Amino acid sequence: MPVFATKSRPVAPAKPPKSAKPAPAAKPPVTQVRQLARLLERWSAPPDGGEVEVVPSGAPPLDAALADGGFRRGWLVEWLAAGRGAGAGALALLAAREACRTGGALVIIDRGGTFYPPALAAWGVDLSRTIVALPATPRDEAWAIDQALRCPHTAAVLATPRSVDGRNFRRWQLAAEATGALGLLLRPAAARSEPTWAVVRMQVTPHGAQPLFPVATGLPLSAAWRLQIELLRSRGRLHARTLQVELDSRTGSCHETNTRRVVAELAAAAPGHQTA
Amino acid sequence: MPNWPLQRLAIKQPELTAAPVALYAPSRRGQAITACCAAATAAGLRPDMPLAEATVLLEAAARAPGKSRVADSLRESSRVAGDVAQRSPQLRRSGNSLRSPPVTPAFHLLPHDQAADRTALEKLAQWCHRFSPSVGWEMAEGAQQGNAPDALLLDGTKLGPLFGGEAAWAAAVAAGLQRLGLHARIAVADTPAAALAVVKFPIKPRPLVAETPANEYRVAGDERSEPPERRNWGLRCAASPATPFPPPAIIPPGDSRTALAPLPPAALRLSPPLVETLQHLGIGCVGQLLALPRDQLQTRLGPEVLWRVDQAMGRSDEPLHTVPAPPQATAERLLEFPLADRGLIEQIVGQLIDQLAWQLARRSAGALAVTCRLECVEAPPAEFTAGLYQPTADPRQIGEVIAMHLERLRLPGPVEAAAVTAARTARLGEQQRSLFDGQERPHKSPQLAGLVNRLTSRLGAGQVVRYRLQRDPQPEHAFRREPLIDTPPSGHAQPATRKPPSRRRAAPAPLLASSATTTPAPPTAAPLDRPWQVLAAPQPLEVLAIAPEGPPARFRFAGEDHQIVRHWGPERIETGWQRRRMIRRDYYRVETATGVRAWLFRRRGDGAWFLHGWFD
Repeated sequence: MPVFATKSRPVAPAKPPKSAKPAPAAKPPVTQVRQLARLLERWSAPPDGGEVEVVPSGAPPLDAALADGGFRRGWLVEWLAAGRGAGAGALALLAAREACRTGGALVIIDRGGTFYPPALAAWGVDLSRTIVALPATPRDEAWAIDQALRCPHTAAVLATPRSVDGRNFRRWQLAAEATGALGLLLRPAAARSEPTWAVVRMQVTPHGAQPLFPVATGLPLSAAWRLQIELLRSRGRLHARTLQVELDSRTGSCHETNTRRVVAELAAAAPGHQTA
Repeated sequence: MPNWPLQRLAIKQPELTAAPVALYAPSRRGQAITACCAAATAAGLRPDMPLAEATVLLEAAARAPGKSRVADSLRESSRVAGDVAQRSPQLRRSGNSLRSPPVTPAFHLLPHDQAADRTALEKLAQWCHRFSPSVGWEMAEGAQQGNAPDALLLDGTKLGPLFGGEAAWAAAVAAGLQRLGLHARIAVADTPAAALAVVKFPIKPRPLVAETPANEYRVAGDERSEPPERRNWGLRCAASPATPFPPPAIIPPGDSRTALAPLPPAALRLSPPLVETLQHLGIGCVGQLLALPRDQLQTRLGPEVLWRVDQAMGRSDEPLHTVPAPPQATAERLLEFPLADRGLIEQIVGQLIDQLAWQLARRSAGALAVTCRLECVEAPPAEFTAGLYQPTADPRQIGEVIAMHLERLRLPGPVEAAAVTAARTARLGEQQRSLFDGQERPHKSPQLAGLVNRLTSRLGAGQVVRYRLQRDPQPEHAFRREPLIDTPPSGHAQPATRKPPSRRRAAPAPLLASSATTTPAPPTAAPLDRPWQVLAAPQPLEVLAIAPEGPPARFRFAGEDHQIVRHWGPERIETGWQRRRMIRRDYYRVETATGVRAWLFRRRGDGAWFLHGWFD
């Protein structure tokens, strides 16, 4: 710091006597410092600045909970499903659909060959712009995800890797950052304890039906599916947050659970508690 | 009047179509006109006219209407193509008088490049290999007489049935040439000579076409018949849709005599002195010549007449001067010492790919499948074929795909020779790099094509697919998988672990189509009607508590108990009797007490319950 302080006055008179040669030698430090300062500035700025496009997640409540108002291209996003039939895939499909809206291809890396295309189409995924790779081994799967993320015209990569080693994860992260592809990873809840390189990680749990419901069904219940999203990790929000969302069965849209209607339904379902 | 040179120029320099064009070349009497378009002909130009005379004629024609019109017509050059069709009859009507037509744009007098004509015709002949296995061009006699060949001969022996009749075959050729912007006259006849005569002298055959309409004939497929094409003038007509392509003249087998009768004797390709002699004798058409006694023809006119007549009638054979088909692009290297080091082998293959790519680029073709063959010492050769998603001549893309196959290849022994061949090629599409590349047309993206190439080479040909929906009540068959690259199965080096999925179609998958071109059967289902992950096959369920109607109240799957609290359904799905295994199922979507959703069905035959998928 003293060097900088003396630079303006006391050093200036001292410089001329030093002849021509030291002068250029004295200047480089200044430019170097400036360069360093610029570099520092770049480092301290948010890594993706303001230019990187934000893609809505397809679930407005989730967008509201994320600091960026959605997913930025080049991110890895992880959904952890609490078990089979937990509905995490629906949210991933919504995000995939939104990511491909402005062009680019959706690449699905489907190791088990379990994705069911008619359902994808029903969720609005354009199958004509979807490339599906069916790797046989986890190694091939990791490689395929990496390749797909590295392709500049991939809008999103949807994959269901079970266990991921750190090296692969880091590689995917770099690949996605380089090309701006959105990596959507659907993983089991067991992955919760594993380290992650994803920017957003959330766990999806279905909201259990209320015990008040009689087993007898056929009631005019809303067919909406209530899910609970636990944001375990996201940029800008350090605290875990829990969201309650509903998936509309007809339109597939996702919105916040309307608590008032839930209460009304509960009341309707339990005749003995009409006053509740 | 060979106007092939003009057609070639018109394609190369479309701006020439706006004005009269004439070509000149040195001749015995100095520079002389060799070819002129119809507009130039109307202005009085004739082949063999000295260049100076032609220049004067054209200048006179250009000056007469006033200079301002010249400028106008040049500005309107885009419209000219359409105009000419109207204008040229007018010109013809006004005869050869030097009175200029109403609009005469500036003219072009260009040197004639015969070598380029020949090369272009050779290229066209190679292109014509798609219609016939042997393509020849006009005999060399034409060249001796000073005019370059301007006709191609396609051997159509037994090709008719493949195209659905000879008329259809000729039509296919015509359509192909029209797409190239060329104007051809096509005839199918028993002998090359007869066909050449009909196309070269098209003035007379009009009555012939009238009396024998082409489409009424069903030509026996085993007849040897060849349609030569000749590009007549058509410099403008080719560009203007107003002028129809002349219908191919099809001479039925054994009918050459009738067809040739009205043509002048020159149609038989007799030498000019002989034609002159015949003219003096008062023989004006082939019919008259054929009526003469044969032995007298021989003694009075010499052997040439009989030779040509026999060729036309099919009594003597005529060799076809074939143009070789474009050879497969291939690069190979014989090694002095057998190599076992993989790195070196890969390096050599890389060099071969560079050579191959260069060959491909030179003929503006792209490889769709590349075969790599490594000859091994005392062992069967290792050979594999790698498919590519888009035709490419990029050594990097080809190399990437080959390298992936190569790294998994088990070499049976040291390699002593290596060869890389483009097994399937396609025309290389022009790829324009747009500013927002990939945003508008992702299916054209070379990067995506590269991704598909890489994925396919490592995962296997049937493992990179696109889904297409199809209307089928059975959920398992509501879609089909289309491999994006179809590689012909090759015996070697295909990874044994891959099990190819049931492939329904063998045709190569089209490009990743834009959404406009592929409209799958519209999904009628709501998003939550079908699970997005299904089990490979429906799994039987252990039902713990049955309900009188609807799904079971409790079931057990994979050791876990599930209590159903809500359900939607049944959705009855039945396949028709025509299916070998008829399917009758009642599907339910159920939600369990934990909120988990699943897709179950009851087999209606025996009431057994199955789980088909989870709403993961």
